[in-house]
Amino acid sequence: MIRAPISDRQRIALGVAAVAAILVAYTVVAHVRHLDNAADRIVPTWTQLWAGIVRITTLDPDDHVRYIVADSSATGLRFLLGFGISVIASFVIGVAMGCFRRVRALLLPALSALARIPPTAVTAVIMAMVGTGMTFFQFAIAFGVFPILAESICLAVDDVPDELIQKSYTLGASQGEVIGNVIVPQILPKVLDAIRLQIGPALVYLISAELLAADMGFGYRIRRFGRLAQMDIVFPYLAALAVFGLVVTAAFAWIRVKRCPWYQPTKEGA
Amino acid sequence: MTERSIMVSMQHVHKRFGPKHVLFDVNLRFERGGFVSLVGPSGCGKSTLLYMILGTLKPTAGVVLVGGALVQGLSRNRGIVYQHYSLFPHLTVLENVAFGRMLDATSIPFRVLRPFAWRALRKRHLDEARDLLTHVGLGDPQTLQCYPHQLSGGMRQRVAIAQAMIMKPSVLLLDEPFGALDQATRESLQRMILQLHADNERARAEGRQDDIVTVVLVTHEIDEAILLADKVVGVSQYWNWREQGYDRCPGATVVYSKPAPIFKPDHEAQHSAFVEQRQEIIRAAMDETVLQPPEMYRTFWKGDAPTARGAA
Repeated sequence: MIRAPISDRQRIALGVAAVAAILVAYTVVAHVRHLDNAADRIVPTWTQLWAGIVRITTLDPDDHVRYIVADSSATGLRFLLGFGISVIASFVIGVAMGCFRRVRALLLPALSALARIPPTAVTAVIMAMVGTGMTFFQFAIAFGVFPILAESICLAVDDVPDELIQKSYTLGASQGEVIGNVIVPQILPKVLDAIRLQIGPALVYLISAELLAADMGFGYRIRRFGRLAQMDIVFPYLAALAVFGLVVTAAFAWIRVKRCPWYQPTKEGA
Repeated sequence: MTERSIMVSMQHVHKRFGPKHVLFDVNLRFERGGFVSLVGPSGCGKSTLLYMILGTLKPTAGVVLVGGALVQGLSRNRGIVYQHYSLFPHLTVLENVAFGRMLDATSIPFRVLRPFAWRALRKRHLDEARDLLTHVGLGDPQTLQCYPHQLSGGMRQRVAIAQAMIMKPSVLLLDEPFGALDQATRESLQRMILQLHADNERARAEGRQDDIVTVVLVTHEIDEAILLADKVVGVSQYWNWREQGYDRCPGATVVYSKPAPIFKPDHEAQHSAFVEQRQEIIRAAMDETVLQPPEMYRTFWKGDAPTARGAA
């Protein structure tokens, strides 16, 4: 039956089974490829992957850096600044658009239009305009994240019932208090969810920017070793990105549960 | 009824939404401390009247006065309880009720810049909220820490009434607050509303003028209107507008306004006591086949005959 509930045990078992199936399939494919070519690095064996992990975590004799540390620092800082600025700007603009009709009339059409342009298609334009410094990466993330996130936050504000806003005024709230004490706390879970859902796309925009114009970072390293078909280096980087994405996503979900215990995603209002 | 004793006054109020004429020449006066029920057929504009008193709707013509002052927007002196969305979902029961005191008594700079003073005041607000919740039968410490989604519909409405009452509003507006509740819960809440009458009487006797609240209830249940109110106002589009020279209905108007018997909260209401009044309200406001002059069933406010055609 559609939406029939399953037990936690079943849920976990099915999740583990899917991951195990991928790992087994990978192992089989790697084994088959190595029967033909023992030096194959397109689908490296687990031993080759481990060697790759060791290589990126130890000091490189030529570059004098630990690749994973240097790349994590560079990519992490770019992501933190780019995504952080985008989130803050989206929040302010999104709330303002949701609260004030004039701001909405002014900004929403432009933001909606921007949101329809594929951000990766604009990367070259951004590079031409701002160069290849930190600003480039921040713009690359912001161009993709900001319009969508601001629109989502605006829609979240729309979902706050008029009755509760009116009631706040009857309780003596000022405009600032209606925003700060009524609207923002109520949209917080939806904002956290919207941010969480934008982490993946933000990483895509950043990595594609790094692929294009970086001398350090995940995108750069993936491009460099990808060209040499050294997937024993590339795959650990991809795995690190997946782990990062999962951890940050889980962190946001945890924050939402802890900060908004009242939130009932399927039941609006009181 | 003296001018000083009038809390809510509507004078020649008309309301249109675009081409739709909703209210026509409504004249009403509600006494301070009175309890008025607004009844009428669906879509007759009862809630529109209520929202004009609240201040979220403006009349197309005419004036609405509360406490002698023109209503120009929302105010902390007029509390509202809605049928739905009555509580802030992100606050616990106790916080919901104390919320108004916080908003009313402090500002954001005060709470940020004077955290110790704010903490002391906060404790007082929470104590006040706890007392009020106990008064409405929700004093259980576990309930106080619940979020609205964890409460039954009846409990939510009790909290909503406490939330409005903690502000000591001059006027409490109830927009079909029991509409979504089962009969048993509805009756229990009706007793709680009747308690407001008793509280008003006590406040009046003790000279606590600020504690006297005027209640306006919108309901489609005629029995409930008679049971809870000391005055019932019927608003309806079923009146003899054609005979008064209109080609189409110019809107609903007041077709009934009479006192109702006052019941005590601890007494079982004798529904037979208001059968006659019930029939009268149905004739005046609900029956679309009986189109009578609107003033036929109006007693406590005589100056409310519709104005000449085209006045609005």
